[in-house]
Amino acid sequence: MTTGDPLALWRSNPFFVLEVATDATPTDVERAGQRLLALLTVGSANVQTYPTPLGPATRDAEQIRQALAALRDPEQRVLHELWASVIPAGGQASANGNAGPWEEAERALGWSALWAR
Amino acid sequence: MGAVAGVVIVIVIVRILSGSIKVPAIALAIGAKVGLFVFTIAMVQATAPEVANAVLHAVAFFLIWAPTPLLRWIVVPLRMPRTAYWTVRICFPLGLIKEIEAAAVVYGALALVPKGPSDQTISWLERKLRNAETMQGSGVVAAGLLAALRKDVDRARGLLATADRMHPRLIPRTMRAIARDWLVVDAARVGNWHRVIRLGRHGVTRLRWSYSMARIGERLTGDPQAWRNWQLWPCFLWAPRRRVTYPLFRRALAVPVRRPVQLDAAPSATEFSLALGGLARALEVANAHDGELLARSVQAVDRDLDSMREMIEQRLGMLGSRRDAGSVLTQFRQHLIDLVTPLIEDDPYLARAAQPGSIMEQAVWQVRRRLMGDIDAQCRDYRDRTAGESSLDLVAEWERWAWLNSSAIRLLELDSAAESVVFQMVYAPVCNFAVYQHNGRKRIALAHDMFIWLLRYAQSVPEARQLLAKNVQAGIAGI
Repeated sequence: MTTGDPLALWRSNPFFVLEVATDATPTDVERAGQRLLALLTVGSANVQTYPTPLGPATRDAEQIRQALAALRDPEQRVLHELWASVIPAGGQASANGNAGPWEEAERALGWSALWAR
Repeated sequence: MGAVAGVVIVIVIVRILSGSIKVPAIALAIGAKVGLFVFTIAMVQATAPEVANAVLHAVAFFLIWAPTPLLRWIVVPLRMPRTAYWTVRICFPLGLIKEIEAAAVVYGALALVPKGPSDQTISWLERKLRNAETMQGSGVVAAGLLAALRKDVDRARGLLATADRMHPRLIPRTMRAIARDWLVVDAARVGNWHRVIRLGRHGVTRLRWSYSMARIGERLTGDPQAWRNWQLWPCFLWAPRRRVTYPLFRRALAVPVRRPVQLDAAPSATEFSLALGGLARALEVANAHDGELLARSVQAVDRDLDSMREMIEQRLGMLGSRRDAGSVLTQFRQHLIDLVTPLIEDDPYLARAAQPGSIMEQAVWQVRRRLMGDIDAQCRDYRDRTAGESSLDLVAEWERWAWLNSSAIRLLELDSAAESVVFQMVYAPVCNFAVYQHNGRKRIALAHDMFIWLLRYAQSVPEARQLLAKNVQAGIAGI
């Protein structure tokens, strides 16, 4: 049963992690990465989360280093450019909005908060 | 005369205890209860005043003749796991007589739920379950509930699903209801209504709450077979847990009946970025288990991807790479498969709309390969342990069997055409292992469940069917 976030991997796209545009020059990318690493070192709280078109996500120094390494490889960079070009769809995606999860389900058995999230 | 009768009674009791006269456990329990009831009433009448006498009468009546309502309505809500356990052990509910220790653990676990899981009590219940002499359906439910209390949801799901599909001979109705209700909640809480419907429509036994939930699920998903309001109302009123289920029931009533299935228009945007947006949205709402939406979104991205070839080549050139666009496109498609695979693994039903040759179908093949690997590993383990005549303890053995079972069932959900392949894979190792469990370890219920499960898929192999039918009969005699 799906309890994990299916978009987590997508949100960790290097362009989102470094908060740079897909047409940013390699110098801009390096500069953005080093700035974020410096901010993380001094413990800036705001830098730990970042916005993405698919919702906010969290990052750490390791992720930033991996993002920098990925964008240094031209082939990887183009691949990530493709994924980062997403334009979020609005509106109702499901055929039937009523068919969503049943939030009170666990209460029916008295098992509230016992399911692993 | 009296002395002769006494001697006869003593002889009969001695022969029953020595096993030379076989009396069904339920008859023994009824006999013991009648004796105890008469004795208690006689004692109460001899000693207590009138009011206390009436109260004690009622208490004795409930404890001896109706311990299950007492457990359900008083002991479990009062959060007394050990009291629940001992009440079952002492009062011997007639419906649970075959596996009294395991049933006691089930009620202990249920009483633990509102209290909040405590490690110490769970371990105590686990020890009690391990000491149980026999383990059939109630034992599997007990192991499943304890796994759920330990938040090992996958293991709990496997065990409770195994209990739910068991033959009625192996599991009392109350225990099946506990297992199925848990599975229904597990599916409904993430909006997997197709699974709720399948659970409620179960062929073996219909149970009120899961049946009502399946009917509600049909309305929620716009199923063409969904019931109208006048049919749905009595079904809802007949089922338990009405107060908690009512908001969901209202939600279902709000969905028009027998409306044509409104599929979203296929993503019309030819632009790749919009197609990606549609895919992100479909993944986000994957918990709504809308397989068609997911398949169409993946297909739209896949289709539009080829139009990006020129742009990819330009970008590679600008970045100083000599590689061609093909490698990027291949990697992109692999990422796409990796994104969809875990969803299909969680809910094979999502893949029902996969088109031949599509990305979804490739993801299906990946999941299929992994499940085949799991089944093969478990079969190898059974083969080795049959040859080495080694067994795990009974709870662990049921867990292994539940795991193999759930892998095989998921594989068949994914690809029903794989039935004969799966049967060929599992038949010899599982059948031989079951024979060893039956003859060598006297674990009749486990072996019986294995034979019944194999028999269900043996329809195209007459020799196997004959052998399995014989083994099932041997099991019935031993249960």
